[in-house]
Amino acid sequence: MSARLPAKRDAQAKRHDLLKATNASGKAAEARAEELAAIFKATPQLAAAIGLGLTGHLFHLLIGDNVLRREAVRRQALDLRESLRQAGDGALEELLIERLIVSWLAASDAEEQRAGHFREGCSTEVGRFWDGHVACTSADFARAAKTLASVRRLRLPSVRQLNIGQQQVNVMPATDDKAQPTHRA
Amino acid sequence: MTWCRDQRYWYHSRRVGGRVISEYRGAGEAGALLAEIDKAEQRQARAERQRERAGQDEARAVQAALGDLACASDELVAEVLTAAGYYRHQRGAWRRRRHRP
Repeated sequence: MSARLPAKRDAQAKRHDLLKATNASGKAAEARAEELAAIFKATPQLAAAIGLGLTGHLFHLLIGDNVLRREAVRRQALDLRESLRQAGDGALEELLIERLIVSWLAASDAEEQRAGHFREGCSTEVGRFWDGHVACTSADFARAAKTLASVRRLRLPSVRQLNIGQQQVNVMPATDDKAQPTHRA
Repeated sequence: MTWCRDQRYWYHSRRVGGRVISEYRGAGEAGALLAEIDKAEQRQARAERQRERAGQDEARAVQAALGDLACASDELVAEVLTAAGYYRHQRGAWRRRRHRP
């Protein structure tokens, strides 16, 4: 029972972060909490992903039980996470960074395995399988990077265009506008 | 791989183009030695095949888990952005809804 409590607290903290990410406050926060609860109920795999269950499982699959490899990869993953973080990141960005790191790890591992097979010599079928695996993991890595970039781009203030005389002028809105995506309608 | 004629001659069988071809390897002491070598090679090849199959199963598990993670995070992104007033233009890029006075 006591072993479950930290995990529960962690899940609550993640949920809190997620609420912050949607830029909710007051009654709106409560409304969105219900909305998110409904989402989690409809897609249980989402809750597992936010609890990092999936990424943890993937890390174990990719790294295995070798302590040296595990610690080296953990260090690299931490460095990568730090380099990807930006000020004002919410839980959504954290999750996408986590996904990007796991995808990067999977793509690197696939490349390494394919290189090992080709170096030792393998049959056409085996080579084709590892080619497919590399293609799949690389595509996933690219998709993860694109998703993170899209979310970051949406957080930037949109440029407004004005026509003054015969010239088109791009105007940046006030800086406090870019904190989080907000309702405009 | 088999012994023929009262275990006097050692033959090595292999499949070539859908047909099984038996090759004579040796008889007597030399045949017994070659039989041991062939069996050891066969065991090694079987172990390598099993290792390869296990590696491919692990790779498939990684692909499945990555797919699950991608689906889950894409759904979350869609829900959060929709709640924040964005929409997907013709199922493509996300766009902010225009302010209409």
